[in-house]
Amino acid sequence: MRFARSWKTPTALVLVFSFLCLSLPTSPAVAGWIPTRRVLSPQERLATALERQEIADALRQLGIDPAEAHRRALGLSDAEAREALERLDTLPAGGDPLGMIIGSAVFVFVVLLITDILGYTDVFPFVKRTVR
Amino acid sequence: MGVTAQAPFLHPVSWRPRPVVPALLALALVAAGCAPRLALRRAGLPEAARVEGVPVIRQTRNHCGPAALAMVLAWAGRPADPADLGPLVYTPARKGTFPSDLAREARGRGLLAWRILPEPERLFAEVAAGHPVLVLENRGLSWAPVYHYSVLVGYGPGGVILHAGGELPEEVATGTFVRTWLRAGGFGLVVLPPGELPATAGPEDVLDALANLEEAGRTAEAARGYRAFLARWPEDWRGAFGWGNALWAAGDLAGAEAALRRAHATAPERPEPLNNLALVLARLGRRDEAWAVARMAVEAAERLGLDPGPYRETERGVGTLGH
Repeated sequence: MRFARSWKTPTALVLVFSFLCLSLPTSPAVAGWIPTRRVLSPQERLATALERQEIADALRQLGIDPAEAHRRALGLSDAEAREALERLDTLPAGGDPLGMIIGSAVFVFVVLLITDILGYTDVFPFVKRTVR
Repeated sequence: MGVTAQAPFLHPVSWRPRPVVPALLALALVAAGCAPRLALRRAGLPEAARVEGVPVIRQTRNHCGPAALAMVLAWAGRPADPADLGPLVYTPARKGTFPSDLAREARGRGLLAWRILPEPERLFAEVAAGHPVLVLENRGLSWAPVYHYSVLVGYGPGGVILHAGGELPEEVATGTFVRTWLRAGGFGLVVLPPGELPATAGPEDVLDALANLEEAGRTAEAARGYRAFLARWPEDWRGAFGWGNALWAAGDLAGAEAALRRAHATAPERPEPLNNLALVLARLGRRDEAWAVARMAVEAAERLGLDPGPYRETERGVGTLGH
């Protein structure tokens, strides 16, 4: 544990630094150049390097390896990145929805069967629907 | 089906049991009484449409996202193996794929990815225009969700046609499909080859999608997109501006000069095209010309009441660039 703590901070710093480097605008670095994004409306707030780092951290906690999490976080558009940030807290806690359905078993099965027959849902391939 | 995408960033799952009897009654009424009527004819759409050229790709367990992405990538001319896409878009802990990862991966391959507005008429309009749409459905209930990605390739009197990860295309009642689609938030992704634009997007949306492509480093493909934008909205100077920026980033200085001059001709009052044109000219070694154009940018900014600071900086800078 102590070992883990001793290398965690430097690793984090290196990651933050690499984000700062990598997330520079892709357009050629010429002072004064106006990127296309600047003339679009509504003006979007750009996602910062730290915010992208936050997304990468969240993805790592979802079992994605660090390099891949990093790549994914950098590839998001600014709008996607902000959306991800806003929803990080409300990310679904449960995993496989089907697992949950099996968990509450019979009741939900019957409800879905009825709603499937009515054409309101589309879960079971064997149900012939009444609504076209 | 046996497939579940997780609830994405967009659509968090909320497990909230509700009073059962009223809910069931309401469901029965909704389902029996009011299949959503699509204003197909009012929207000027044909009664039926089918997109050709979308392969049927079978998914593996929980991998409806990679399979659906592989299908639209193949249609757009950039085929990829779904097994290779899995590690790039799938999130194991969620047993599913986030929508933004699908858009990101398509962009990274040089394709325009645009999230359509969540209205059924627009969804069908894209199909009628010959564009398959990668859709997310919640095939279960809002409180017992069963998320699933598939590709909408057609619609008609018999229902919609989905490539849903099975061995064969699936035909689903239009009313059912529209409900399950809207229940998942109406996520639909149009993935298009370079130079092709979504049928139902306005100029702002197209520019945003093209800027995303440009920022993803796919400047050559973005340039083709801006050219298509210019063909559709020739009076919007931002199309030529983006075209010039993309060409500059792709290393085509002569092309960038021509495009930025065109943007300037379309909107002579704007300082932005002049500013970038000055930098292109400086890089081409035409320093006097560059300085004069930079001067014009400063004046244009002052006339429009914009902060002239950045333009003054360019004016100072072009003297030192170029060699």
